[in-house]
Amino acid sequence: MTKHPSAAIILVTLVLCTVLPAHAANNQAPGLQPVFHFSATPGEPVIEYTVVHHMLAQQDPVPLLRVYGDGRVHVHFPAYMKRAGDYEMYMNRVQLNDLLRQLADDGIMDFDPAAAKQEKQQQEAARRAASGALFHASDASDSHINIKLGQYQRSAASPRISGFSRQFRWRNLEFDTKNIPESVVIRKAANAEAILRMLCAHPALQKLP
Amino acid sequence: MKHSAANRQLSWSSKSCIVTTSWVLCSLFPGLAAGGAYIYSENLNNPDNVTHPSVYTGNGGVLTVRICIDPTSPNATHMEIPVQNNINIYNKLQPTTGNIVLAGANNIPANYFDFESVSLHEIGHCLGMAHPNLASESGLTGDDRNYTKSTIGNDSTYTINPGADVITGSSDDIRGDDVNLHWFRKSNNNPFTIANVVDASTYSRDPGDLPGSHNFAANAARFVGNLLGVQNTEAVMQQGTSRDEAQRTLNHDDVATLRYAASGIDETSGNADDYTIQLEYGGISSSNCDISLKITTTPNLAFCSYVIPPTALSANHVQMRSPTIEFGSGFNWFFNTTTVNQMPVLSTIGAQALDEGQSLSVPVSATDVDGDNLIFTAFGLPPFATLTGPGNGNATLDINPGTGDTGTYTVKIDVDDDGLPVLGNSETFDIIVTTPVIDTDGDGIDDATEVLNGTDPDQVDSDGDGLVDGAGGIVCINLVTGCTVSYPTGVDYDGDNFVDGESDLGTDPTLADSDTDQLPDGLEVELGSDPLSDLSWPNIADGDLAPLGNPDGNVNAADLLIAMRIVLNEVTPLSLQFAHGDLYPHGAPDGVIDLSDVLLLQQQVLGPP
Repeated sequence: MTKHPSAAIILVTLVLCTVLPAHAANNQAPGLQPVFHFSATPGEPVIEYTVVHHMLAQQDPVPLLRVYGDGRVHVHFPAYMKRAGDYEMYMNRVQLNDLLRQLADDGIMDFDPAAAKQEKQQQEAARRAASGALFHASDASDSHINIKLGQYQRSAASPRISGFSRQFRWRNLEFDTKNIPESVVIRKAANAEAILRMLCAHPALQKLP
Repeated sequence: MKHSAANRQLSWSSKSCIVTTSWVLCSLFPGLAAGGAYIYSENLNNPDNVTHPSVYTGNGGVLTVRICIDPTSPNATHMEIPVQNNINIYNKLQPTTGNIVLAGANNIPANYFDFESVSLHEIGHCLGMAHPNLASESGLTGDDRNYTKSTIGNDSTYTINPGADVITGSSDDIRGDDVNLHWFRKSNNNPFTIANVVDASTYSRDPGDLPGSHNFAANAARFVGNLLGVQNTEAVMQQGTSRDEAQRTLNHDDVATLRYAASGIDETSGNADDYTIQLEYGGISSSNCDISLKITTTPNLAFCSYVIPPTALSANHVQMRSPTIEFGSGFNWFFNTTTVNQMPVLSTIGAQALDEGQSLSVPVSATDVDGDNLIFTAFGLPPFATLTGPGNGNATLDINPGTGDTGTYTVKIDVDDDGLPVLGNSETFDIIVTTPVIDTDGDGIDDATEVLNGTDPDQVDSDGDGLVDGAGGIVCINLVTGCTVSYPTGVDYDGDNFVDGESDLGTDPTLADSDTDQLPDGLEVELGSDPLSDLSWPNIADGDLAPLGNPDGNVNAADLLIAMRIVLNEVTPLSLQFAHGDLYPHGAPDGVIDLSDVLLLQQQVLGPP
């Protein structure tokens, strides 16, 4: 397969432009925009996304989505899924920056599990106080988003973090989004996951032999 | 071994004391009283909690849970048989062993999940059952998830040690201060068995009720089953499914969990608050559904979502509301097309034949291996037939045709069971009604045919030609074996001792002279000429010609005069004249009437010269 096929890049650009809010790329003042540095080494994923299904006795060990520093997007659907197989496409550095910026805007880079848990509990408690009802779902799934950057600076006023690594984990993100709509953390995280899921279904992806 | 629960990201569980409007969920419990593997027990911080289906309000009886397939769901029609199979399984509430059917022994393609098996599990959740094992909600991974369901105890972490048998979830597990949430059978702590009565007298959550040497409640994980000598068996509610794996029937532990809840709020069976759940298939519908199933774009494989309402049934009993099941559309789903319900077998009925005025009572029976109620339905029954069925697979087809009902009637009898889906069997057969054969005069033609033919049903020889109307062999000419009617004057041309009927000879039973040669058929047959040919006549040779065409039996001058006129070509002779007037040579007439015949006739009239 030819690297960086221009047609695919154009298509990726079009899709990402519709997926990502405009401000992610343009609307923030330069000093307020997060800064990312990542290696263009082909074998190092900058973004990993996968879903762990609790109902499955054996989880597929391969992440669903990997975006590498050289712009390669690798999507892996396990054999038990309708789109079973491995797919690839490429995005350019600007697109990858836009994607990272969106994930940052959605709170993935600065995700604080303890704070998020506390906010969720508070929201649930408030709902219980209001309605008395408790919502739950069996057999959940966990959303995992891993970010690895050479450097990350949230804004010009923030410290620059070298060897940045963030693991986002959330159980039943989809369910929580529906049942705790007041939670900004959950809503933004769900938005980040939605973007990654759309990337997994991108029409420019080509199935690998 | 202590296992950190640090990776239990954002678990619902907490030890905080939650007070709602009507219940106190604060239970600083370890080791207290009973509880069970019921939905939300750990979340309510009440290990004693029993969760009931949405239809249970504390009043006993038969409670119907209507299960529907969402009309907007993809594959809705494909889901029908698996869901109906699930309903059958839950309604039978039959504990089974060997309920894990792996690749090669099931009908599931590789890399497909069995919708029916996953659906059975999720419906179990929607009826109130939780995972009997710690499962993924514990935050544990791998085989550790197979430890028996519990809370984390006061030390805020699961204590998991498989004990000497090294099998997780078995009775010798060492679980420290973890609080058991799983019901066990007091007598043996064996989840692959079930007590006759399932209530607080036979099941408990309290480790103090365990058999002497047991450390913890065993759950129905497949490896625990192997340890207890039960192969390929696991509780349906055990979390964890594999592709190409079928698990379509309940295990003892599943049944016991449902039955324990069904013992009601008092947790004692035999009381007024006991209930029986009857699942009802609502079809592809969104009307009046208690549980709805749908394939959606959820990234999850499958889950049951529900609401626990604010008002509890009692301190330890809650009901769930609005249960909904979703399945992820991105997965390969196999939809079983084989029904659990078996088709009833209808015994062969076959064609039924009878005469008008007769009656027939035909037993109709069917059997059903499922023991379903059987309903018979008849299609195309004529008015003179009725199907009555007392049930139990038996019915009677009564046939009473009257006059004018002659005919062939094609009838179909269906038998349907009341299983899910409803299955039936049928047989199509003919009822053949014939007009009874009445032959009043015994001439071999039934009366109806005689009326149709124009002969007299009361006369054996309607046209008086000396031949019996009917077919030969029907009417006796002499008294022979089995023959009761004698017609000594009849014709027995072939010497078989039966009168030859006109239908045998081909003559018209309504005409005395079928060939119109003025010689009656019977006479021609008797004397050896062809009654169907006017060129064939018998050799009577008595000279009786007059009156012309109607000989009077006398031979005199009138006859001689006619003979003379024939010779003089004044009269053209016909068969009748040849039969009577052809006298020469004597005994072997030559077929002409000439002077030789006249001379012989003259001698006969006038005497010898």
